[in-house]
Amino acid sequence: MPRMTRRSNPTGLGEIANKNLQINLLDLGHERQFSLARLELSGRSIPNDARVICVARSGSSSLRYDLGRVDSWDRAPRSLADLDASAPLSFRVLIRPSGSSRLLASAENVRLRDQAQGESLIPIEIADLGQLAWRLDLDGDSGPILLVNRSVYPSAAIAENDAQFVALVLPEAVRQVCESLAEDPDGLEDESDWRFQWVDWLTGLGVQTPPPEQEDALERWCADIVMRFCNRHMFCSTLERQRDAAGEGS
Amino acid sequence: MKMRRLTADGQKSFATWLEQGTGETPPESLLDGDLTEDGLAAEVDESMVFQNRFEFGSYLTNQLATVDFVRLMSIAEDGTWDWLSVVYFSQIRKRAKKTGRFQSVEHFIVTRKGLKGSLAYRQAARTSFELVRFHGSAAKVCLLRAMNTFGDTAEQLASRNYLARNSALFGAAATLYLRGDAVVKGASSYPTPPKKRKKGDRKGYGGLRRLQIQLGRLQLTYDTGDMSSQDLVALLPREFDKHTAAAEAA
Repeated sequence: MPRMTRRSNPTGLGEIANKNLQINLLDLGHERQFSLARLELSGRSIPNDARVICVARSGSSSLRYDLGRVDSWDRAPRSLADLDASAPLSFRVLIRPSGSSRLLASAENVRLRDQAQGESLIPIEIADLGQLAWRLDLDGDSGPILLVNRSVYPSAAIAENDAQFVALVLPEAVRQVCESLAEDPDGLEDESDWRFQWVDWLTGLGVQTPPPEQEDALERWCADIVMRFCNRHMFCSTLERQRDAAGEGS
Repeated sequence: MKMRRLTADGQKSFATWLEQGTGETPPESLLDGDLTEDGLAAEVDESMVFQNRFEFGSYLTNQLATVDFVRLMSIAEDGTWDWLSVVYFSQIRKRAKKTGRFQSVEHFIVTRKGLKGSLAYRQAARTSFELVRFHGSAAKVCLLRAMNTFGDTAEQLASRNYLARNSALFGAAATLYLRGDAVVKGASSYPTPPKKRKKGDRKGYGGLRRLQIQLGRLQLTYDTGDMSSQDLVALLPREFDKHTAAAEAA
């Protein structure tokens, strides 16, 4: 059934799709650096002397970089050392005329994904979390991010391929997401809201939306989703096989 | 006296001493003993008495005028700010009436890893300096506070560095809410939540919290990181008119 979109664009601001830009992240251990490697603006009437601004954000910290003219922006790596390393990293890329602060086009909430990591509704990012092993970040506009301690898992792909991590962490992460979905059920019908992307996933699990309003029923709704999710992926069977294989090998 | 810097052991020792809260003055070893090291090429007068945090920030800005700002804000100089807390401890500290405890540690020691991200913005000396160095007299909006009070306005504006470093926001806030050396009454009051708001209730409208919301909206259309405070004020909706009119009349 077609869904009604609530998005409008009265300002005429151009939206730059994520596929039309590429931001590279370099992790040097003591410092992270980024560079804007690719930006495709063809088909848009943007003057050559328009400015490219990149805003890096993490938690409550942000850094703003003026990368220069749109026809020759600076591709050199820029330091992200002053950003909070314990929160998800995202970028805004803004295009503005040289003499005005009114934007011509923008890309919002650009996130970097580990190339080895699959597409996921709960993307994994590594972060400095002290002695905390993992944390689900639900503060951003682009949906949940599963933050994993850098000292335990050096890359998101390694965490994603660790059966124990997946079996022990993901069900609780899913439960927290379900609670967040229930807090704003309108978001399930709004294309511009991250919650909208979860509708198909819920439907695929045979779960009804919108979530119930009563607290008891809501808890059961969340628990039911987690159970269906675990059953589908047979987490405990996987762990069992892994344990047996380890026993045979020793 | 010549500026010094707390060592890592000094920071730990200071934190322990603060949590114990048994004395009124930090141990001498934190002032110039072996828990400190040689610091920046600058001096401070430990006998200085400040009326408010703006005076404090202005003084530190003068004393540190020749030191690179990025360096001062870096992790490497956290010990400098911690040491300044020791120097001016008697002015910054306040004991809670109920518990007799000092303010929490992050008000004295730069704390970059909290449960909800960095709390570095709460460190008294660092934030007083940062806001004055960045915004000059517009920093009064946050800093016309007793030395031992962080204040709600500072919490609102300094906790997110895209706000703390936004010149247009501070300039606009100074225009709207500062009259001489006083912040207009109600500037930082909370608007009534929409669900509880009765018809005609305008509490908090046109105030600082709503200004932040407006900035969040405007940054989707404007590069608010590089616009003048006059341009920002001109874009504000009618709820701010009473403050703009009062500012023009003053």
